[in-house]
Amino acid sequence: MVHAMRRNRHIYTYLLTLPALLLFGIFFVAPSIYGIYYSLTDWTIGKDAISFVGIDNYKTIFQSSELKHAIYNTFLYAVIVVIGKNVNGLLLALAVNTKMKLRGYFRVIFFLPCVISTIIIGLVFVPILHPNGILNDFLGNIGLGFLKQGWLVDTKIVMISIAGVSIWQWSGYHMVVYLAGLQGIPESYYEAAKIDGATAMQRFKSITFPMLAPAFNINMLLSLIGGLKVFSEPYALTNGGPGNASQVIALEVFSKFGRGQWGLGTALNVTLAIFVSIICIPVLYNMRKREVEE
Amino acid sequence: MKKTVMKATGIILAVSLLAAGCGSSGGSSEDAKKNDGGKKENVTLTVEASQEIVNNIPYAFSEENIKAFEEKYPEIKVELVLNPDAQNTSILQTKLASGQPSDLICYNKVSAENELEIAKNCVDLSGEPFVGNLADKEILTAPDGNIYGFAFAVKTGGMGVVYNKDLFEEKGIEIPKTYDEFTAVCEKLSSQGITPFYGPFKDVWTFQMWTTSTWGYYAAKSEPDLWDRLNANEIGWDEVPALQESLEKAYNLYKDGYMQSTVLSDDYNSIPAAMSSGEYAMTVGSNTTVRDLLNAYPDIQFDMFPYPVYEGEEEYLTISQLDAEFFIPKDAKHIEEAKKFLDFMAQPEQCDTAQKAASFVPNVKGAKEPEFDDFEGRLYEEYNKTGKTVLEMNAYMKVDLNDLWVYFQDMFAGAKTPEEVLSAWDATFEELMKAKGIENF
Repeated sequence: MVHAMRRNRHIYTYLLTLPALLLFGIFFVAPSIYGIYYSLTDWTIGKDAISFVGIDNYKTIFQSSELKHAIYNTFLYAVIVVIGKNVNGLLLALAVNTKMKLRGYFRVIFFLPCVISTIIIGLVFVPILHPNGILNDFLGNIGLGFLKQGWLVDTKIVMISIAGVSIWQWSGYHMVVYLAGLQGIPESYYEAAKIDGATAMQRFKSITFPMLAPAFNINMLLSLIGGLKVFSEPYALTNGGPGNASQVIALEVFSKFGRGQWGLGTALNVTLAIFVSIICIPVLYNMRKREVEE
Repeated sequence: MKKTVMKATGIILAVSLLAAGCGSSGGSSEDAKKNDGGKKENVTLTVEASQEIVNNIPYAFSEENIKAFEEKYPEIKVELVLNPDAQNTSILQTKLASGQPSDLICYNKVSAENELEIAKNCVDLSGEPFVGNLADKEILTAPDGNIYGFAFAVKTGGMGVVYNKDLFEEKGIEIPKTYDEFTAVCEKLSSQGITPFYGPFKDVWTFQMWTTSTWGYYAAKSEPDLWDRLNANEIGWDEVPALQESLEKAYNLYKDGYMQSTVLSDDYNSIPAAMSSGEYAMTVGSNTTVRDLLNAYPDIQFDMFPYPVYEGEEEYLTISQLDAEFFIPKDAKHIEEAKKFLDFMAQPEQCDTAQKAASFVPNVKGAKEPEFDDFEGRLYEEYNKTGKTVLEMNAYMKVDLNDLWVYFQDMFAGAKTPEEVLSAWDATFEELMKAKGIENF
């Protein structure tokens, strides 16, 4: 009887995955493989016939100084936002996890920006960051005039400005994940530590931080993937400008597709997917290892 | 027992599906029959254009005319399909390539020949009745001798330095005719606390008005075969010193403080506020820019003069290529209705109605002469009628120029020198021409 049930369960499972596998295959695996194939062709808008050109498109990507610059910008952006969002998110979470008045309101307020569309945030921040805009005026009025910048037009800092807006928008989101982690830590650990005479810093180092590992991992992974796939922030704030100063990979893909350079655009997309995989799969693997340990 | 129920359900389901299938197909064929025998089928005629062309050439899309057309042909409904400017070309190219274009496309003539391959993709209209009404057939004739479309106007807009005439008069400034005079004017304005030149270069397409005008002028006057040679890869963009000269002169205005420091933060839409403030004297623009300024600020006089960039040359106004021509794609669903639309629009009455939206010189026999604003009339008398016009550079290009325009922004951001702009564009140009399969690349 037990044996029969087990066999039944197996047949049941495999058969039922079939429709899902089929859909997954048709709508994800097949287009992905096609995409890799098209990235090896000279597929462009005016051409009647598509011909195989080997790794020419990839050569173009790594020879073009503009595309290399876009790759550099993407990584720079990813590093800044991963650090910024996590540090900010954690600090905010610690702050709103204390027993203070109005903490419910603060949680909502910090979380709100991530509900707003990035395009709208872009429209709001463009005038704020204008050289004669609110931010520079504010800095001038409080005696910090030397900090005034051409936030979105100075090629040296434009990526940092864009990352700053993104950190502002998403810190609250990461705060919520950290908050969930913080609230999962039993109060008794802290009580025991207090009795043993541990300082606040020691408690954070030895209890809070290690216990937050799952929240930390998921936040790292989400902000990293988001950072590498960044599109809407530079699109809304600068559209890759001034000139090519804030181009990122996804924006280049968009403009290559827009101009009918489909082969090259696909190759860029494949490159981005490879970058994301190389960086994120080891992180994911580590995360899963930890989860098993716990 | 269970099995029988299952079977029965299965059979019922199958039968009902079959019945439903037959029912629907039967119904549709009946509908088709009804339509054939009875009244004419209703048709939605789609007209596709970019946002920019509809804004800048309002007479081509006169609502009154479209309404009159729909009244004359009640079975046809006209629907305007507007594309965002930056994506317009690729959207149209994609629709043409996939065989699903709109019924009419409105595009600039020469650009359409090069970018949309009109001769391959659109219907030859040389034999249509409207061709007989045209005042100037030549201007609509494609390089292969056929006429592929209809445009309302003969004369097209000029491009130049748009300036605040009142401010010039107030400061006793004459219109500069050479680059030296131009910088002297800038110095004079600057010393009186006025920023001489307003650069709205946040939009990628605004600074190119300077280059398409000045380069077009240089080629027309000094090297008439320049565009042919560039398009045949006989010469590189960085090998023409005059092109670099024009870029350097523009960049120097910025470097010397004759433009506002925020050129890359200010866009085209900010021109009216800036130019009416009295803080700025000149900017880049076209007839449309001046007209918009005059409409927005009727108390201030604005006008336009040619770019005084190359020394000692006679002044010519750069005109844009013939704009807003309507084409019918070969794969359009309603070619006959689209032809009716063009025949209807190419009548003197419709041209007269269209004049209400904006003045233009009509290309239809018997249509009324336009009533120009002061400035447009003067430009027309002074340059168009005397033949002192040259065609802009963009009219000769076969590829999308967006990359070049981005390099111009790089120049103002300090990331590229004028020389580097041209060498970078030379490389990109080669890549784009190669991708288009053009010979010698």
